[in-house]
Amino acid sequence: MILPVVIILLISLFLSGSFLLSKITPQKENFFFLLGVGFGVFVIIIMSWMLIFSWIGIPIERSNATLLFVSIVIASLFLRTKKWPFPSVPPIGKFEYFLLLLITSLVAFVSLESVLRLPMGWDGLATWLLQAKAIYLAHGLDREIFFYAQFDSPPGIGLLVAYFYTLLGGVEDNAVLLLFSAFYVACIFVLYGSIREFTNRRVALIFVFLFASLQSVIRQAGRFDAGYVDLPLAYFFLCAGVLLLRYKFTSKPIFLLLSFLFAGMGSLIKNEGVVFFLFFLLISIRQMLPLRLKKILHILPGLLIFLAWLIYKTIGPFYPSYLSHGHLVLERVFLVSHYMFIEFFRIDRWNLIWIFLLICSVAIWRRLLSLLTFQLALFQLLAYFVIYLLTPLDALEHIHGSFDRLLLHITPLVIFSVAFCAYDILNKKSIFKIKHAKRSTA
Amino acid sequence: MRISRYLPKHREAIFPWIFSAVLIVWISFSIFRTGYNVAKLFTQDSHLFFLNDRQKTREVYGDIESMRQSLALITKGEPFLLVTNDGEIYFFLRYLLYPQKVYWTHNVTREDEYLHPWKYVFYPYMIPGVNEKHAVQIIDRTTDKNLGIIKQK
Repeated sequence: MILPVVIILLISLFLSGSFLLSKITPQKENFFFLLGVGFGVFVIIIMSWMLIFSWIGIPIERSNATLLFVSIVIASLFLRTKKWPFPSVPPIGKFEYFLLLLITSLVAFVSLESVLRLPMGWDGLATWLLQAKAIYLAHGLDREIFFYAQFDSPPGIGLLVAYFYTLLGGVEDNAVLLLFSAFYVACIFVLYGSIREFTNRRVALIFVFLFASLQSVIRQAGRFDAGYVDLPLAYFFLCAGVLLLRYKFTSKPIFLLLSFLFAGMGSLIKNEGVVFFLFFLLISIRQMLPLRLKKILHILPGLLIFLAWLIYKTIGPFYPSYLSHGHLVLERVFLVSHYMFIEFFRIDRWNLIWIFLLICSVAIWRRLLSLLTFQLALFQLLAYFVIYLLTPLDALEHIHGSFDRLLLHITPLVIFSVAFCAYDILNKKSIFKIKHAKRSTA
Repeated sequence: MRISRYLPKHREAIFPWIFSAVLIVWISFSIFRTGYNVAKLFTQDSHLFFLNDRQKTREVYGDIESMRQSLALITKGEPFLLVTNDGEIYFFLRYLLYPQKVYWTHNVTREDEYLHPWKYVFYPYMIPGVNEKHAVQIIDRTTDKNLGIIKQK
């Protein structure tokens, strides 16, 4: 009985979020883009609400959680505008149908896998789901769990999962794993909607399928490793990146506001989100020049979320990060580069994505480097390189145990960038029948 | 500067074909893996469809679930110290038993011992020759009474 309720809740997140988003965006957006980003908008509202209630000391109960959910759903129905594009089935070719079938099979596969098993990824149990259970049982965020479990992980996903537990009235960890599959679906929607902006349906479907079939992604979306937060973090990075790109091409401040909200909330998902936010701030300030008060006001909500978490960690007693015991070991540069490079050729995890990226880097490095989404991914990769130089743990063990998950954070951004570059190259001569897009953002 | 500039002729035509070739290999590989993944639902994982919650728990957590049951029965929510080198047992039990406090010899602090003294000490161990955790021993720390060895199977 719980499972259908979770499915209805998740569908509501997608639909209501897209209604809200269609109201605030200035132009008619792609249907899938609205669904994908809209899901994140609803998630951000929930996380912020949970955080604010925890901080002001109002216990999170089933009644107020339900009231919030119902209020947002009703408000979104009233706010729904004509801009929300009800999907129509366009005439598409056999190859496109085949790709759609493959993507649908993958979504069905990971969703079923996520509910077939109980949570079993040790990091998910040791950190994220434990945090959610603690937040649920304490009716809010409590510092005690950080000391008891000895971690300094941000509570974003813990708050979201705890919200679901509150709505469902119990720790339904099996059913809630479906939430992680929802992030997989949301990534697919955002990727499709964003790639479709500058290329044709076929190319968009190809790259979405290539993303959806990555084994590392599938594992975290439902098979074995559901409960890890790397895929949700990747989703927040992707949304922040593509929304910033939209701001660059349209100069509409609402995209700046949304992109900062996603980047700011990313810092509440995992510690790596803090590093991402700093790079994001740097890159976006360059896009915002000349700086004006109106633009600064639009980045404030995202900036506040980021700062609020940092202040919370700084002012109160908080379990220290393992990196606080580390120092830069430059002798590791070769070792770390070597093992990081090897991961790019792990075809069992990544298929050919990194090999394709390497070819892109050689062929059109200038174009690739000028792309915002790629800059964000590259900076993030460099940050991980520095983390391995800093780590107080055994560097080799640390790389073996975590680098695949860190790479997952930037995978959607890289897929988007690769699609962008492939379009640039393939439209010269190709069997993929590239046509110019309806609206070019390039 | 593009490397393609150094290619003698047809440089504009070469990269699209390299890209197409790699893309075709990538797509073919992904299609194969998608088929393989979906097939697992009907082969490797098909038995999971027919399990109830209790059977599923037993299937996924195995001996750890048996330990959890024994511990819940004996310790009745009191904190305990886990003596083992196996991190998996610790992390799984810490999650499954929460809010009951589980401390582990590998990361326990003096503050933990002072602030949250554990009432029980728990030793999971293997029966020689059997590569699974089949037995647990629980000691009441306040009376030093051995509460017995519980065999799981």
